[in-house]
Formats: sequence, structure tokens, C-alpha cells
Amino acid sequence: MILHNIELVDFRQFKGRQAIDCATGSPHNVSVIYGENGRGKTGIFRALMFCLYGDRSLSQDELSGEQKKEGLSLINEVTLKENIGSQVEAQVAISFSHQRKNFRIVRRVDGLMKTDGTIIQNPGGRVELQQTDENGNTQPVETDLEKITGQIQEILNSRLRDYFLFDGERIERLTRNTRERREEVRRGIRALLDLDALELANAGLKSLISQIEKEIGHKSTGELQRVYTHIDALNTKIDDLENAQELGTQELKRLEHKIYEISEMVSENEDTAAKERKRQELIKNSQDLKVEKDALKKEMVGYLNKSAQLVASQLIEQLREELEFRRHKGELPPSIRKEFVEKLLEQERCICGTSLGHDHQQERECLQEFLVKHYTPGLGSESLDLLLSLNRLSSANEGLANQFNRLLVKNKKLRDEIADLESKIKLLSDELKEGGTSVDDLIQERSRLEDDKRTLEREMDRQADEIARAQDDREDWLKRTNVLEKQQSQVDSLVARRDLTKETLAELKAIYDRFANEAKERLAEKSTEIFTRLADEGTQKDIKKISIDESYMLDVLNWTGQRRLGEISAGQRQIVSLSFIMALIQVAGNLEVALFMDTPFGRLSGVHRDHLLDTIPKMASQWILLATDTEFTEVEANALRQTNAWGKIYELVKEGEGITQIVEREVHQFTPKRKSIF
Amino acid sequence: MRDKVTIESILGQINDPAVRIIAEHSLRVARKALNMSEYSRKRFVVEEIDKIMPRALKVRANHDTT
Amino acid sequence: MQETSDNPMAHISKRWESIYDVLCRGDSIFDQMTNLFTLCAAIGHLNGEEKQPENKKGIFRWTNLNSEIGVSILTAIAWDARDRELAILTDKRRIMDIACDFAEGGMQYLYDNFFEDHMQDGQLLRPEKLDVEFNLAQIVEGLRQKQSMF
Repeated sequence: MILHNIELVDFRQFKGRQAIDCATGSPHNVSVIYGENGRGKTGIFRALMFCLYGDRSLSQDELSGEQKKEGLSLINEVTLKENIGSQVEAQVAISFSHQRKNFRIVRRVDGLMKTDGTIIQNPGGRVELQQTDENGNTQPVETDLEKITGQIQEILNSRLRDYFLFDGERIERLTRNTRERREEVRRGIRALLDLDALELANAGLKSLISQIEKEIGHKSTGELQRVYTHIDALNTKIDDLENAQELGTQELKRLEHKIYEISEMVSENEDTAAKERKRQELIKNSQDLKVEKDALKKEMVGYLNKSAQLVASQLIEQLREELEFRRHKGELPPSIRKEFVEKLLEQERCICGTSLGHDHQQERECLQEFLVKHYTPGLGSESLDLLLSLNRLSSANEGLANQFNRLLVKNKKLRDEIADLESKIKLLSDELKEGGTSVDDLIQERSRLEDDKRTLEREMDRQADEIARAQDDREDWLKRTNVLEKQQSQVDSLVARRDLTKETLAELKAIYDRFANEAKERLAEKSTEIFTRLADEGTQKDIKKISIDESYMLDVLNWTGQRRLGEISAGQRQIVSLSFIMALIQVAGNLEVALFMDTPFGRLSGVHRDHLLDTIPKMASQWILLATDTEFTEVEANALRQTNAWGKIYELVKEGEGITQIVEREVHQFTPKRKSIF
Repeated sequence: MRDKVTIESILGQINDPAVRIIAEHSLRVARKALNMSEYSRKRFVVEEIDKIMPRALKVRANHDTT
Repeated sequence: MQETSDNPMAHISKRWESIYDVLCRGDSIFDQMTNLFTLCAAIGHLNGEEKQPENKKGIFRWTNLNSEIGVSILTAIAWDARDRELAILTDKRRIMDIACDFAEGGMQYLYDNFFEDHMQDGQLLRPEKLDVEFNLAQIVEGLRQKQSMF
């Protein structure tokens, strides 16, 4: 973030509209705002904090809880007094650039002064932010407070702002040897280096892993595996049975062929030939009858579908008679809807146009009687349909019974005929078997083969049944598989998620360790390097190295490597802090940030000031100094001028009670009030 | 510049593209979450990482087949 | 699916499932389960055998019934079974409940008189060899004649 312009309207002691243009860019990147104590330097710092973050007080204000909530009065009191009883608005606008985009943020607060002099400041405020991108396209003005806060946080996170926008006191405080300060430094390092974000990311990944694992636990069972195993077993069984059927079919063919061959041989014998021919004929007759019987079966199926009415024929008759009786009595509803008749009566008008009023009492009564007679409770309009169905069933019943009977009789006849034929075939076979002819053996052999054939056929029927059952079974199991597979695919995707999360966590952990250590080392190294450029000889003698320990605590080591932070002077601490902050800027990277310092030199020795004035402009992108007359003397002005980085100088001039004017001076001609700090 | 050690540059070096997506996204949402209350930040991070997961898995699947 | 009084479900005992399956599937004897169910209900009613299905399994809904045979016969059964109250004629839910109980009794009768000898592990063995058609027809004819005896 590089500040371009700060514009104040009736803010604190800055009455009316006043502005500061900051020096930006190389080489002139230093601006000085110069003023005696009490002229409003801190007011500028407040304006910055108010405009960017909406802060109405600073940590140094040491306000009570209630005051902190309300904040300081930010509106110029003179303007308030001039407008007693009416609303007055204070405003701060800051133009800045960040990553090649330009921004202008404006924040306003209003309030009024009552006649008794009390000031009422509106707790809310309005803020707007406008952005112009790198191509010069200006976006619409954003007024949503939340979005603006988010955007500013992204540009200069409030966790970090204390390291760049600070007063000199804070700089010194940063390295005070207290637990609180050390913690602050630790937070700062972690924040700047993103270590806290990295830790949070890791914690989030860890939580996600356990969340996913819980879900996996809920969803996965060994069920699918068991189902697969079962289906596998069924597949094997079906395969085996089908193979057996195939073999059986071949065996049947072989047997039939053999039987045929023997029959041929048998028929060659004249004695038995006649008997055999007869036998074949009977077999054929029997088969014909079986075909006829099958046709009969098919015919029967049609009647069986209606057979319930045969079993319930009497019942059908009884209900039919009951409903007929009711119909006869007029209890079945007519085809005219009850609601329709009621409506006619209610409207007192028939559809033919006849009035049903008092002069047509007879027609009226006729309709009323119709209602009572024809709409019996319980008998809905369906009862008429039911009666019609029952009538149809009743009239069809006799015909159906006759057909049924005919088929049964015919079937019985066929069955008897088949049985008769089969016994004759058996008899002939036996005769052929026992005939004692030369083909005796052949016939016995054939009989044996025929037995084998029948056994095989039975076995194959059994197998076919078993195959059908196994196939049905497999069908059911496959259906279950579909359901389970859907579940399993969820589990698989969860596992993939978990694995990816785990890998990421491992990677991030490794990166964290490497990065944190590397960053710590670089930070310590860089801080020390900058420190040697900033510190005077005496300080350099006392302090050999700036260190950052395991827990990111800042310390200074003397020549023998002992920790000395508690023993160094306030001025030396300021130098250590500045070195550390400059190192942070360098190490953290991507930090295009203005260093905004209020009273930066207060505690520094002359040599330190010279070093600072020489070094910081080269390291920071922009440096804005709020300096008092006691710390910014001719000596400092000359030193700064020599750096060629000094671009702007403003003087804060008191114009009256409660009014400060910001006056721009010429850098080359500006002469501070004091020659030196001494 | 050798002095600057940015986390982005390190994350950018992760070889596995799916892991890189998750890692970069995790860091991005964690940064956002740091401005939230302690109570909700972790939940936010978890939810946001979960959201990017399908994209990363898709990248992984494509990567595996090529 | 939710049970509604407008379109109640017909239930049978789980143990009859395979018989219903074999007799009603594809090109088997009954075109639809409703026909076998109605026959069973008529048999159960004629024999006065009413019993609740165990391990109920839903097989079809009221609207699947053939309006001529199915609806008329099941309605007549319920009417007769409940004191010949006409109010029951419009109560599909009750008609179906009563029909399920009689269908259970009817199937039990068919099982006892025919299927039992041809079952193994709850499955009908080689139904194509059983001459189920004429065996069933014979049973139906016996029951038809039984009616006229009362």
C-alpha cells in the first residue's frame, strides 16, 4: 500500500478541507509532516486509522471501556460550535495504490453540538471505496461496509498494520523485554510470514480428515464384499450346472442314437419287427395325445384367469340380487347427481326455466321426494357400476362353468388315453424283452439304455430347475449389489478425498517446518544485517546479533552469545525494532507498504538518526514521518536532503484555538525551527 | 529476490497438481478466516476446503489417466 | 410408497411369494397377480378360512384390479363377510384388508391340497411338469360344485 493523498474535512483540529500529497515513487519517497507538540500530528495518524479501519481511538489513548466504545470526538469542535444544534460532518479521504491498482476510500462521521456544549457523535458512519484497475478502468463505488472492510483487510491486514503504521513509542515498546511484547513480536512474525494462516490451514485439513474418516466409518461395511463373494459362488454354480446340462444333452443324444441303432437291429428280426412297429406307432400316438393335452392346457389357462368367479358364483348372485332389490326399491342412486337436484331446489328454478317457488309447490315437492327416495346413505354412485359388473359376471358364469367342465372332461379323457397307450407300450416292450428271440440281448440293452435316458432326463430337469433358481437368486443379489455399490462408490470417493487431504496436510506440514525455519533464520540474519547499518558503534559493540528463537521470540545477543534484550537502552531497542521491522518487510516479500511513523526519532542518538535517514528510504517503498520540532532539526533536514529521497514537507500551523492549518513548504527551502537536538 | 521467502512460491513448487490446488486453497481460505472469530474460523476453513475437493479430485483423475 | 385408503395395497405372506412368482410370471398361468389373489380370496371365503398374512409383502394396489372380476368379487366377499352391510361397498381399505385375510386362507388351502407335495426349500419344483393348470382347475371345479351343496 502506497499512500498518495490524505484529505481531511472538519476532522479533529483540521477545520474545513485540507490535504496532504505524499511523496511516492523513486527516488522521492519520503514525506515529512512537521509540527510542534499539540499541533495535530497524531490527528493525522488518527485520520489514517479512522479512514482505513474505522478506528475512533488509538491504543495509546488509554480510554475507559465506555469511552473506547464511543471513541473520541472526531469532528472539528469550532465547526460544531458555529453550527450549534445542526448536524456537522467530518470526513477523511485517502487515495492509495496497491499492486498497480488505485483506490480511494472515504469515511464520514456526523454529529452535533447541543446548546449546553455537549457533543453527540453518531456511532455509525458511512464509508465508500472506489477502485481503478491497472488498465485505468474505474469500478462502481462500493458502499457495503462489510465488503470494504474485507478489501482493506486484504490490502493491509489489521494484524499487520501495527508494524507499518506506528508511532515512535510503539517502535520502542516492540522490543521491551516483557512477556506481552515478546508475544506481540511473535504474533507479528507469524502474521507477516503467514505462519498463522498456514497453521490454521493445517488445523482445518486435520479436522477435515477426521470428519471424512467418521463418514467413511458410517458408510462402509463388509457387506458388498460378502455379496460379491456370494454372487461369485452363484456364477460358478450356474456355470457348472450349465456345463453339466451341455454334457447331459450330448449324453442324451448318444443314448437316443444308440436306442435308435438297436431298434433298427431289432426291427430286422421278423418275429419282433411287427411288435416293434406297433410299439413305435403307439409311442407316436401317445406323443400326439400329449401335444393335444398341451393345447388343452393353454386353453384352460384363459379360463383359470377368470376362475375366481366360479368359486364365488353364488356370492356374486347374492350380492347382485341384493343390489337389484335395492334398485327396485329405488335406493340405488340414479344417474342424476344429488348435488344437482339440491342446487335446483336452492335456486328455486328448474333447468327448463320453470320457477320452483311457492306457486309451483307440486313440482317442488316432487323433487324433494325424489331426493329422499333415491339417495340412500352408504350407496354411492359406484353401487350402480358394481351392479352392472355383477350382472355381466352372472350372465357369463354359466358359459364359463360349461367351458371349464368341457376342458376338464376332455383332459380326463386324454389323460386316460395316454395312460392306456403307455401301459400298452410297456406291455409290448416287456414282451419284446422277454421274447427269448435272438434279439433278446439287444432289447434288454435297449431297455437299459431307455432307463438310463429317463434317469438322465430327470437329472437334467433337476439341474434346469436348479439353474433357474440360482439365476433368480443371482438376480436378487445383483439388485442388492447395485444398492451397495452406490454406497461403496460414496465410500471410495470419501477415501479419495481423505487421501488427498492427508497428502496435502503432509505437504503443508513439511512446507511449514521448512518455511518457518528458513524464514526465522533469514529474518534474524536480515535484522542483524540492517541493525549493523543502523546502529552506532557503541551499540554495535553491545549487540552482536539479533536472534529469533524457536518460539519466534526476538532477542539480542552479545559477543559471547548471551541474551541481552533486558539490558539495552530505549534508544537501542528502537534501533533493534526498526531493524526487525525493515527485515520483516524484506523477508515477508510482496509487501509494498508505506512506513508511517509518528515521532520516530525521540529516543535516538544523532548517529542513529543519520543512519536511519540514510537507510530507510532505500529499503521502504514509502516513508511518512510525523516529526516534532525537537526531533527534526536542521541537522536531520540536511541529512535527509542529502539522501535525495525527500519529496514533500508539510508544516502544521496553529491558526487559533482548535484549528490547525496544513501548509506545504518547499523541501529545498524548509528550515526547521531548531538547529539541532542539543 | 533471494531475501524474500514467500509461501506462495513454495506452494507453487508442489508437484502434485491436486495437492497444490488444495494447499493453495487452504492457505487462501485460512487467511480469510483469520479475520473471523476463533469460534467459526476452523469450521469455515473445513467447509471451504471441502468445497474445492471435487475440483482437485477431478484434476487428480485427469492427471492419473494421462 | 405410502398406504392410502383410496388405493390400498394387497398383501400376502412372504412364504407364498415364490408360488405367486411362478404362477404369475411371464407366460405362466395367471396374467396378473390380481387374478390369482382374487381366486385365493374367493377360495378362502368359500371355505370360511380367514387369517392374517405373516411377514406381509405388498404385491399390487387396488387400481391394478380388474374392475369387472377383481373389484366385484372382492367387494362381494367383504360385503358377505361383514354382515352384508352395504356401507362397506365404498370402503376400499376395508374390502382390501378382508380380501387379504381370505386370500391368505385360500392360498393355504391350495398349498395343503396341491403345492405342498411339490415344494422344496420354499420353491415349487419343476412347475412345467406338474400340470398345475388342470390340477388347479380340478380344485376350482370341486369348490364350484361345493357351493351348490349349501
